[in-house]
Amino acid sequence: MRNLDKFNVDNLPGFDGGATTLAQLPNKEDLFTLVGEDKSLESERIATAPYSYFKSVFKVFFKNPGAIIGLVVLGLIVLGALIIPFFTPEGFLSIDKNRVHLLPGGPHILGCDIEGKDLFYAIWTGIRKSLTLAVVSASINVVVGTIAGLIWGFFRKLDVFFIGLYNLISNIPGLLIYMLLALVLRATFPQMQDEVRLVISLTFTGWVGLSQFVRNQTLIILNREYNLASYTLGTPARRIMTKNLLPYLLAVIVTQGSLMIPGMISSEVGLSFFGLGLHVNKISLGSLIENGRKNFTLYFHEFLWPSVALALIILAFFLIGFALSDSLDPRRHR
Amino acid sequence: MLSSQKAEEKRKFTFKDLLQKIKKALTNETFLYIMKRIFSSLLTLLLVVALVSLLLRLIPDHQLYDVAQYNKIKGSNPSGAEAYKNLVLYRYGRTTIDGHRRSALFGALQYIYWLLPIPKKIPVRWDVDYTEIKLYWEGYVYLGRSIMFPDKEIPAIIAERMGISMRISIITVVCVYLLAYPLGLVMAKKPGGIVDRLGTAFIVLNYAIPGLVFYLLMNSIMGKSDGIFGWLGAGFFYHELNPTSLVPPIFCMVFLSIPGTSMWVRRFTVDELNSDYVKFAKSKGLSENRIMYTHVLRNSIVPLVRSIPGTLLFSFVGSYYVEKIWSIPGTGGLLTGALMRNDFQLIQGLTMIYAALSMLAFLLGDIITVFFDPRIRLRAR
Repeated sequence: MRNLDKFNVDNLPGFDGGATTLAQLPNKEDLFTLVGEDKSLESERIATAPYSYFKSVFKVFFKNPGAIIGLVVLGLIVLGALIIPFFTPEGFLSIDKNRVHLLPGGPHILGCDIEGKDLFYAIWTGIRKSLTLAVVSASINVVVGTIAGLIWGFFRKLDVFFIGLYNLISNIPGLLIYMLLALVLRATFPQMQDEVRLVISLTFTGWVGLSQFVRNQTLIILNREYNLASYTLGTPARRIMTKNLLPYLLAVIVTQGSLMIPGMISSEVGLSFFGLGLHVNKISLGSLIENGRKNFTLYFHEFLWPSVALALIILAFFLIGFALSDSLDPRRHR
Repeated sequence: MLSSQKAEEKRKFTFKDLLQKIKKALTNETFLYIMKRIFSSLLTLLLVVALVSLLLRLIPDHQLYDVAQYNKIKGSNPSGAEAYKNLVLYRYGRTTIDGHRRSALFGALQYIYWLLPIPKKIPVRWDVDYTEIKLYWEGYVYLGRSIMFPDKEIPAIIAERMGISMRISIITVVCVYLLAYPLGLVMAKKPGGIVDRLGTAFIVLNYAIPGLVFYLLMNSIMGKSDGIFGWLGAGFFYHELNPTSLVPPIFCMVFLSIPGTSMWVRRFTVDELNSDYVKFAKSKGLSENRIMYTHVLRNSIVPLVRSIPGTLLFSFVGSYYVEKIWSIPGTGGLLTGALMRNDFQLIQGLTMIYAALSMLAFLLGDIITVFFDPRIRLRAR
């Protein structure tokens, strides 16, 4: 009995210690008034605007000033890389001993590099090649990683195999894999194009991280009721993956892809630094930076401008990627 | 009599206790989990060894020996040329000493045999006269013979290089955590405030800097004896007797690694600040600082603690770029050098050590997380 007494409303903090009892409360009629039925359409209206996920994503995305800066910079760079190389004057990109280390001025806006190539046109051509390589490798990684991640997440029996593979690959340093592959491919297939070799080295293990990410997302979504319903109704696995899971994952995958591209460009530059990138005669950002590095204390501009181009591309992709990942988060939508 | 009885009881108790303790330890879930992890790590290690040795096997023979040299000797002395070729291929483990081919599988199995901790017979010197190979080994784990440094054992070569890499990297890691953690916390305290915006701008701009370009710039700016940083006396290259020559590489690495860490600190802290227990603490009237430093900090640290052993252990590996640019004799430079000179045994030894370190780091990270977060339990399924 004593215990029960303790739970009396009057003893609880916040109440006025039993000063007001039930009898002292005002009558029910005094507290409420009858308003009747509201027959106008006003009661049917929802006060807030109807919610649409992708509309909100776009709204949040374009409110972010970083995203707009990133889009503009990237758009200008892509446009320049598509158009400017076509207007290269005859012979500006060939090796010419008379133009070695020519200082900026005249027809050569940014001067000439160590081999006598015009730097301005070489940079735009290099951006085109590096961006193409990065986009191709990143899209291969995204496609393979998504398919592998979906299969990994959906068929739990494959977990042992995939976790083994993931441990195996993530435990070897990335640069070591790049270098080993470049070495092996160069020695085994001497006729192979440098570009193909580079794409193979960048995609050999690059998809594994993304597939693990997709797998985790798949596991989260797979436990929802609509998937359980599909599963119990006997929907084939391929249909569940493509119709139920993929639309949900698409946004996250696009973000991961846009953050992957700058990494691919940096890897290309890094491989060039270790002599495993494109051949020196082939123009790419990696080979331009590597050429500029050779005597960058004397001819600093030859090193500076390709680096600035690289930094701008990376910045644009990061700004877009961060804004995308922010706007895809539904907690930020209202 | 009483005392002897007591002593007996005590002895009985200790024996039983010991048995029980052993039984308890052997059936302990955490212990079983760790044993399982170690076992699977060893399995993965064997797979890494096999995979790398098979990859290296794909490189054709004529890339290994000097074809011009071979043709030159062949003109005057065909058997000598064959002997030269065979010696090189024998060193790479492609043939036996008599010139018979060895399969790739044999190579991988042989390497695993070398790794086993048992006394074994292996060639110790082959660089002087390959017809007289001494077959003995006083140690236990053998990693093959390096082409670049044939006189030393591979573990000794790596250990020697690791010292300097480790010293640089540990200073770097400590500096990064000391700088990045407060930055992340300050940014998280008022999301959307001036500090947060400035910090985010710094992080994004820092991400955009290509590492290689920044290293080269800093090398030239901080190395100049008549430049702004001339008083430092750093110089362009690392020198053993000049400790200030380590300042530019460490500064570069710290500067470029701050954004990654502080961004995660910020994200985890903001997530914790939005949780219910913080709102409850606020409504109970706790001060902002008390909430931040006694409750939020402890919880937001949990996801980061997991990566600390990894960062520390990976510091043994060193940075490839930094070690090449400042010519620091560390492990990063060792790997690139070995790759350039086809020193396969050294590559394989380094790969194995890296893989072992990273697996150890993951395991340690998981174990440490348990200490910081009582909700997490390691359990063998």
